[in-house]
Amino acid sequence: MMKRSFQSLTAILAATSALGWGVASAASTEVADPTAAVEHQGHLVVLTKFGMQRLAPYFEALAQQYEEMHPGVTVELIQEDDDSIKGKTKTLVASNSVPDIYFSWTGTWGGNFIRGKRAVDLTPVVGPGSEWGKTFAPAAVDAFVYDGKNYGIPLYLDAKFMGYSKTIFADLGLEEPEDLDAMLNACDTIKDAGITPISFGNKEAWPGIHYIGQLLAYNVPREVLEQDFDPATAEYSHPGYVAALEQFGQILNRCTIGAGVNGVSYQNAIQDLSDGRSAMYYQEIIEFDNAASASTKLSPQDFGFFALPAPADAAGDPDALEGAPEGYMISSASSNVPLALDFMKFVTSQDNAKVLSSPPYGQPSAVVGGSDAAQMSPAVVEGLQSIADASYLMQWLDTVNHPRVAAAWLSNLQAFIGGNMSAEDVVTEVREAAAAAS
Amino acid sequence: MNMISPRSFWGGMSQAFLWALLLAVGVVVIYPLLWMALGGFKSNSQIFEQPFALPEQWSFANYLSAWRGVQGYMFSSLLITVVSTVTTVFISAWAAFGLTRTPMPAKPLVTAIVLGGMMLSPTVALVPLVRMLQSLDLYDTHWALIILYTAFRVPFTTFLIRAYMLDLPRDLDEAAMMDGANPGQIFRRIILPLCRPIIMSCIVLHILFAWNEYLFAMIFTNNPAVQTLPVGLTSMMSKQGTDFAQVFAAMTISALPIVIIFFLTQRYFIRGLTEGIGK
Repeated sequence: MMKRSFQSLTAILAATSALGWGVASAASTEVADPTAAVEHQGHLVVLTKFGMQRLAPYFEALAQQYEEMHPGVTVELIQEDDDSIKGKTKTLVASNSVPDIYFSWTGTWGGNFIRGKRAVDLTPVVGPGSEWGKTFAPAAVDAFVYDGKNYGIPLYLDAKFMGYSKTIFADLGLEEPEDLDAMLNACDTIKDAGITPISFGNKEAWPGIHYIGQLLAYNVPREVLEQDFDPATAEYSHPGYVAALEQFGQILNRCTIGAGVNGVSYQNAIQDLSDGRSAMYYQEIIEFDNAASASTKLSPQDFGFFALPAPADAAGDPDALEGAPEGYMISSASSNVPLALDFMKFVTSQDNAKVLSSPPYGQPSAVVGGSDAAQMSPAVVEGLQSIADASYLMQWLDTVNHPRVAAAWLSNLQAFIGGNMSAEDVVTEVREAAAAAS
Repeated sequence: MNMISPRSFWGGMSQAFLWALLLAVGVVVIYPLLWMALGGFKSNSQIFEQPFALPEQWSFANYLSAWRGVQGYMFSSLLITVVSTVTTVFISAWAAFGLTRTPMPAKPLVTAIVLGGMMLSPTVALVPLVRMLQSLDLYDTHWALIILYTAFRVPFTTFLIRAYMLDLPRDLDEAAMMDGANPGQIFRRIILPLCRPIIMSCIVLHILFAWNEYLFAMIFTNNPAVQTLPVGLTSMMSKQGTDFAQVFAAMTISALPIVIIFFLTQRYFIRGLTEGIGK
């Protein structure tokens, strides 16, 4: 009797599982309809990454304005910070409670939503040739393309630049370096003057990855890189990988304190530039207003930046820039996709984009013309122009790669910095991680 | 000429070593708290440049702006901590009384089920709990955290109170029964007052847990009006720039109630734990 009950239970479970998988595999991705009428009625839930007290008022104000414009609509905000957004998103997805509009990084993070059919295909509304799509920087829109389809609405752009103290450079008779050798020579001069050339903290492991990402864009052709980002086609056989690591080794030895950077936090490193103890710090454009402000020794007028200089004989693209936009996706489970899109069009209007780009938020908007030079620090305005001029935006290595490959980059690069691993060994480890992930 | 006897010499030395050890332990415990509180008076620059120096100026500006930033979270933390402490300790004391002093069929099994709750990992329960609280319309409310904190702490608190109650002589119950007291009266008037040390210990332990808990608070609340201090403190930090002086000030403000409560109740706390340790 008991055995029969057990068999019945097993059969029910098996049937339920099969049905569940069947439904999942049969589900198709919803496609946004640009002609759908927007009914300004209902409730929208928005998951943002603006939970920090400095940024939180941005979406709060927008939600309030939108509710005042459309009294039938209520907007509920879930505002998380850099770290909590990961745990919150995973839990909401696992419990099938994905908000109507949710934050996403580019790369594998966004790819997981596409694979799980959690995001609406936005190609007709934001893809090539669309009215709304034309309002964004093309590289920002392209970063959210998966399998030839657009899934994301970029909100702001980010890219990595070498920030420097104009005063220290001027005092030592230095100019912005044209190529990598010139930067290394400048480092020697700065070091001779008793100043740390580049403050670098790699305790968190990702700062080192950012150097390598930019150097790979310079040393490895774009098509080879993109082939290697996919574990199924990855080879990691191009000599540019080893060359990039060796160049990074030179930067490490001649411009920084050396292997000790593995014990320094990136926050210490940026503070060293702000306090005038170092001449340069490799940073994201969204950190510009933090590195040099009214409360730091390094004033905004003293702050300059340049792209990490490319080696003279680079085999890749010397005009590429490392960076990626961050943006939002629309949930395929949303009961009111047209309303969600309408809200995001409001968020990415030029007026609201200018507010986003200006202090206190200082997040360079991905909207074309979404910056007001009069309200922004000159460095951020110039940085935005550099991003627009870049021939290719090389995404962060730790988000564009499969998580296993990203982990291999992170841990082995720390070992390389610590002097415990050669450049060839790092590439071998990454290659093996890609093979294991395929 | 007075001679110092070897016994008194070594006795003095051991006393000196003991004091030195206690002093070192005291420094190890107190110095980080003091460093955090002093950090609230510094600037970001001084925190990084001279982390162990005294503040250049004693301005409360950081503390004032930190207070403005955390006062809403402080209210939520207070409410959730107080209510969940009352519910947890009350339910646990009742459960412990039932498990130790009343006749009950399959008592070892019931005890194992109640105490088995300690084995449940909060992390693995997150997803079903989100669904459950959403379906009960409790998600993103103070009640969500009060219920969860109570549910997850009742097994451990019951374990502590049960161990203490097992030590109390049965004669007390019998004498009270002969005087006509029912089980409820025996619990309220005899057993509960005798359990004061362990109840105080449980209150302190629960306050420490509820005040500092982050995972549930982060997952089950969205609205800043409902979120607690640990979530509020993380919202002050950002990859793109953190005012560490303000964060230290906020951490000091949030730690202050716990430190005060612990000092006020430490006598009961230690007594409660040591007396219950025998079972």
